Amino acid sequence: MRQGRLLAHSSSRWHATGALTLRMFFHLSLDHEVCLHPKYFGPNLNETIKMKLFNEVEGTCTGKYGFVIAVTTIDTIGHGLIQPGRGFVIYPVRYKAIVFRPFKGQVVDGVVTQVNKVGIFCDIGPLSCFISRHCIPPDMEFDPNSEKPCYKTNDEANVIRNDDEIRVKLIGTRVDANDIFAIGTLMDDFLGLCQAE
Amino acid sequence: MSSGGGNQKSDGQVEEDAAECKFPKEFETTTCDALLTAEVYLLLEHRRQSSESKDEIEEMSEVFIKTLNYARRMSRFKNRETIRAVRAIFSEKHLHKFEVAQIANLCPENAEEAKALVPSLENKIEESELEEVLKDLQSKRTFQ
Repeated sequence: MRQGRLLAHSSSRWHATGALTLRMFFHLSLDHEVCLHPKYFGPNLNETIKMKLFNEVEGTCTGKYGFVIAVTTIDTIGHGLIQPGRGFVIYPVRYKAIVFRPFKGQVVDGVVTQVNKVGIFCDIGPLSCFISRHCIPPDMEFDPNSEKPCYKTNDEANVIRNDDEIRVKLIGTRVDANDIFAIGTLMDDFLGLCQAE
Repeated sequence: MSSGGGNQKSDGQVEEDAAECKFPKEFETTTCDALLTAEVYLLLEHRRQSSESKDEIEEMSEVFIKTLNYARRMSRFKNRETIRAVRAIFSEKHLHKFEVAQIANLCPENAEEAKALVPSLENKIEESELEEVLKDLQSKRTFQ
């Protein structure tokens, strides 16, 4: 159910977007409801709420905000509301967090994690991104015989192997219940291997 | 990829469009900052140290560790002073906060590259002005 909703959300949201160029890291104000068992009602109540918030939101991923990476501050903890018939209390919490949200059309730097004949996989922080063979410039050939598998031009001026840094343009994203997967392309100006410093 | 859909969604939401610098309202409010990778690195590293000093056995989430490693590798400015100086370069330019973050993160070498990577800069800033900003950025990177 949850997954279905998120998928519908992502397609309606990201389908028709043009060239988006947002940076993926944001510092954002967010809300969350913490549900607490009555056994915690004691001197360390606030501390417990904080810990539970950290555990519940950090590392999660939604279509709207992307990955929640780390909570930075807790702004307010509202009045608790006792749930009739259960005894549990729900606290509304407002907090700020570092979130990571990839956008279609955005240019980002990634680290190559895998190279094979179907394409290249790279990591952009928590996001994994796939670049299909068809989105790699045609003058770059896959070479399975070299020491590390790589894509390279004939004159070997341009070689992409594992652990290299590449500049990718994201052309699509898919949002699951707790993961985002992206596909990218190298077929545009100024994309591809990052120049060594 | 379908390119259908007008500017106005059926639920009344405005379609996000970077060419016109339109973004979902959650990301448009004043409480939302677009962070540089370098800032993310400093924040996460601080967080890691403070939880280490508290002897918390609780392990960091995979997302956290991956992001920390990524930010460490990709961050172009190494300390607080440099980041402040970089922010100051952009302070009197009338750029969107997303464009600022994108330029500072990608560090394009010239105005042409910058406009290719961040298309919304087109018609927004003079070539020469942009060129100067990029040169400033380069020197901040070299002398940090």
